[in-house]
Parts: sequence; C-alpha cells; structure tokens
Amino acid sequence: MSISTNRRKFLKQSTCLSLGIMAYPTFVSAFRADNYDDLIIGHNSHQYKVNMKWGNLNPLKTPVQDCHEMVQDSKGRIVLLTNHTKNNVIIYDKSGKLLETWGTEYPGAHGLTLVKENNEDFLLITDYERHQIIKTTIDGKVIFELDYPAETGNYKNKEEYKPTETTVVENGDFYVADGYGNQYITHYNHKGEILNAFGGKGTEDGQFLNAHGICYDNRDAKNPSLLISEREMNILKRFSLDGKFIESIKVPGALICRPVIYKKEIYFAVLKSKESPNADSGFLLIMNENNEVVSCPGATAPTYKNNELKELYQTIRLFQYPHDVCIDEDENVYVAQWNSGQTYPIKLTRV
Amino acid sequence: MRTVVGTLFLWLLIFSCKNEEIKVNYLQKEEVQLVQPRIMASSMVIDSFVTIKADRNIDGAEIFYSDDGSEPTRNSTQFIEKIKIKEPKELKFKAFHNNFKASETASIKLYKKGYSASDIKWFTNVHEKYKGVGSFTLINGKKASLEYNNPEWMGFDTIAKAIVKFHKKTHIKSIDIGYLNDPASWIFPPTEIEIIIKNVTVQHFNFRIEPLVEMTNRAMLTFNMPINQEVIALTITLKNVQEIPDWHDGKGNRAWLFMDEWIFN
Repeated sequence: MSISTNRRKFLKQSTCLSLGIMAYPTFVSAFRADNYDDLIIGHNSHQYKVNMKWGNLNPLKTPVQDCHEMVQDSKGRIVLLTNHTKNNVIIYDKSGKLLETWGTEYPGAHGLTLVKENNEDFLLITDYERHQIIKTTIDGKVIFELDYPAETGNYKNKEEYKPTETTVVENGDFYVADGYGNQYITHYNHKGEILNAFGGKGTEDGQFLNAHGICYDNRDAKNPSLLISEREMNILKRFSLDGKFIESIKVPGALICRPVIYKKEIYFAVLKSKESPNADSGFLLIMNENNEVVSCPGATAPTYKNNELKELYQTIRLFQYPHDVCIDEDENVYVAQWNSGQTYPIKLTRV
Repeated sequence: MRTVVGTLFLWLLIFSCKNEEIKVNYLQKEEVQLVQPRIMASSMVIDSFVTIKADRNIDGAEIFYSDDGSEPTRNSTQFIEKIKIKEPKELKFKAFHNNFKASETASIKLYKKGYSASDIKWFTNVHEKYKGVGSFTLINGKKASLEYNNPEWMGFDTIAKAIVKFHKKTHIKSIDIGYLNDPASWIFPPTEIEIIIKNVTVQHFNFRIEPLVEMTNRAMLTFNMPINQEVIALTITLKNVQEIPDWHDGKGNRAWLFMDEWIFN
C-alpha cells in the first residue's frame, strides 16, 4: 500500500474517531477495517484493490453470457456488451448500479467502441455471428449495418468474416479487425465506404494469426498509428494508418485482448497465460508510454533481461478469462470476462 | 434550531464514515487461492538424471513436495531452487502462503528411458496444423509441454494408427502412451486403444479409458498398458472422442487427441 493511501486512511479514521466518542455502536464496524487484509494486485505504479461485487445483477432479470467489452460514455456511464440476447447492452453508473439495458439482436456481440460525433455518443458493435459491424446511437437505435467487405476480394462469403474489434480516428474513419475470420484489417471512411485493407492470415510481420483487437494510438500526435493485438502469438503490432507494418512488441506468455489507451498508458485484458496448468489463467497487463510492461495485476511481476520481457503468467486464481478493460477518470479499472460462468464485471480500485 | 442542524450534520458525518466502510467490500487475501507451482523438468524421460525446477510465483509463497504419491503438506520436503531425480517416480508439488489459500497440487511423472523403436509408419494422417516434428515425434524420446502448440505434440482429429518396429525381438513389459488432457481446448483423452502384435499368432490387446465427465485442468497424462510380450513390431490404434459430451461447449463435435511420446518399457 502506498504512503498516500495510508495517510488518506489515517485521516478518515481520525475524523471518525473524534466523532465516535458520542456514537460508539455505529462505529464498531468502521474500526473493523484494521483487521482487513485487502488483496492488492499489480506492480509498481499500478496497484489495485478488487471489488468482486461491483455491478452484480439479478441473473434472472438481467443475465449475461460472455461479458466481451466495456466502454465509458460521455456521461461517465459504464457500457457493457454481452452476447446474451435478452440484453446485449447493459449500462451502469460507476457505482455499479443498473441504469438501463437494450439490444436483443446481437448473438455474436463482441467488439464495442465509443464514437463521439458532434457531442453525441454512438457505438460500433462487431457481431461475429451476424458477420457484421453495426453502428448504433448510445440508446440502441441502428444507424447502419455493414456486411462483409466483399469488394476487397479478401472474402469468398460472409462466413469467412468474423470481426472482433473496431477503432475510430479523429476524422471519423474507422478500422475493423477480423480476428476470428480471414485476419484482414479493413479501413472505412465515416460513411462506411472501404478505403483500404491489409494484413491477412500468416506469420509475416504484416500478417496475423489472431488479430483480436485494434486501437488508434495518438499519444504521439505527430505520428499517430494503429496498435493491433495478435492474441495467439502474444504480440502487439504497430501499423501506420495506411497499413504499413512498423514494429512488434512481444509480451511472452500473455494472450492479450484489445489495447485500451488511457492517458499515456496502454491497458490490456489478458485472456489467459500461455503456459499454465489451469486454462482459466487470465490477468491484466499495463504498458507505460514507452510500451514497457510496468504492471500485471494477477500475474508475475514484469521483468526485463537484456531488453526482453520474461514470460508472464497468472499467480493467483482471481481472474478467469478477462476479455476487456475500461478505465474511468479515477483510473479505476473495470474488467469484463469471457466464459467465466456468466459472472458480471469486476472493478479494480487504484490504490 | 442550531442544535438540530448541528446534530443532523454530526449524524451525516457519522453516516458517511460508516457508509464508506460498508462500501469497502474488497476481496480479502484469505479468499484467494495461489496458482499451482509451474514445474519445469529438463526432460520427463530419464536417461541418467533430470533436473526439476519450480516457480514460487508470488512473494512469501513456499513450495513443498512429495515423491511417495502423498499429498504435499507444510511438513513435506521444502522445494528450494532445484532437485535432481535419477529414478522414475511421480512428484507432487504444492504452494503455501500465510495469507492466501494453498494451491492445487501439481504433479509430474518421470519415466525411465524405454527401448528405442527403429521405425514408425503411419496409416492415418496427423492434422496438418499439429504434425509434431515429423513422423518420428512419438518415438524420439522427447516430451512436450502443457501448451498444445508445443512442436512435440502430434494432434489428431481422427483415429491415430501406426506400426512401430524394433531392430530385434525385444521383451516389452508395458507401453506408456503420453497424451494431453486439455478439455477447455477441445483436447480429450483417447477413448480406446488397440495393440496388435504379430508373432506366431496374432494377439490383440484392447484398453478403454473412462470418459471425462466434467471440465478438468490441463495436464500431461499417461496411459500404461501391460503387454509382456516379445515384440519385433506392433500396431497401435487410438480412437479419439467422436462426440464431445453435453457438459462441454463443443458438444456433439469430434475432440482432438494429442500425443507426445510412446514409451516401450
């Protein structure tokens, strides 16, 4: 626990203590906090306490199947995408209270990206079972549906197209990663017209075996680029906006889902550890602005030897199959999980 | 009026303090289990000796192990750095920590190097994606790892059938079939194994393996088949799961069969 946290805790308890003289019974539970041994996960600058009860709902009324992805909208609400067709989209406030649900027609709901246009929020949903990208308003009205990009010549039929993720750049152009299909990245303008396609299945630098996630990286405003996670290969690849391969960043042992940039850091849910006896061996991974791994909540501490990251793997049975992370303005992290017994997201509070 | 406002303010403060504590509902260390230690062996087939290392995973954790088949406890031998093993045996490891729940047990079985087969000829095709290191993969004396992408695995989505030949007539007490159990990745144990030995007469040995009834952890397992025969050649046929059972996401589909080594004892 950091010094600043200890100080905050001390100040809060001092206030309670001075008041507690008059109200002893009310404060019995307050001082039990000293007996707590809260789990703290992560390393270095990024450490967290874990709240497993955040966002838990009545599964009979608001069920989830796989919790695939989450984003925070302009109002600060947390938007969850699940492939349960009773309510594909579940919207929470930051405390985990249910605000609203919508969506019954997205059986393969997988990727969720927030698009801001003229101060209005929209969503891009990838559905690998419908083989489509769907743009909706934040309350679920469909703006457009895009079928498989036949005109690129990269697909014989829609079944070869199983899109997993999208990302949007400032001018409204967006990119689709086909992580479960033929592994192409297709570049569209804001109207949904195809501008370019690159990648494809293979082991060359410019190709992919599991292009699961994609993210627009404008941390270096003069050289914006695309980050694409090649999950099965444990590699994060950087491409120019016109599809030229730039570099590979290896994360041995970590099956990274999509990159999520918040401020200068990149956050990842790691679906599972490459070498682990239990299959449900996921964790989280955080890179700094130099793309060095600085923290792995739920896994081994990141260490570099001769500039090479040592293999990472799960150390405690906390996460099962984390699939996405969402970071709020307090730098708390919400974790959506795939195939984890229809459980709701987990909230991590930064300490 | 001032007293009422003061009291109200005081109670609001009190309530906020208490409420803060109710909100602090964080997961406790004692509720969390350690991951079982990762065991790394220089080889799983003993020629002269093998070296075993194990990861401690987390600060403050200690690993204890047994080599008599018993469940390791804090009273078992503590594992420090590495151990050398010269005889075939099964070792069990478990991680303990004062604040966390102890891990599940990790085990590793070490085998004595078997008789070397001189040739193997396949009657069925290994899957294009999981060809191992060639047709000799299962008789090259090398085990794979838990990761199904390890090149020492041969993966079949159909029946696997091959004939194995020896340079001269050899007394084989038993055969160990090394396979991968990874049902989360649709990789199941074989269901049936048939061995045919042609000497003066033709002998059939048939073995059935109990099907999985629930999801289990990844493990490298072995099925031992006693045969006690003089052998110059034998035909081995293994059947993969033809229909994944109802409890699994892949129900109704065929399962994979992954093997890394056949050892002739």
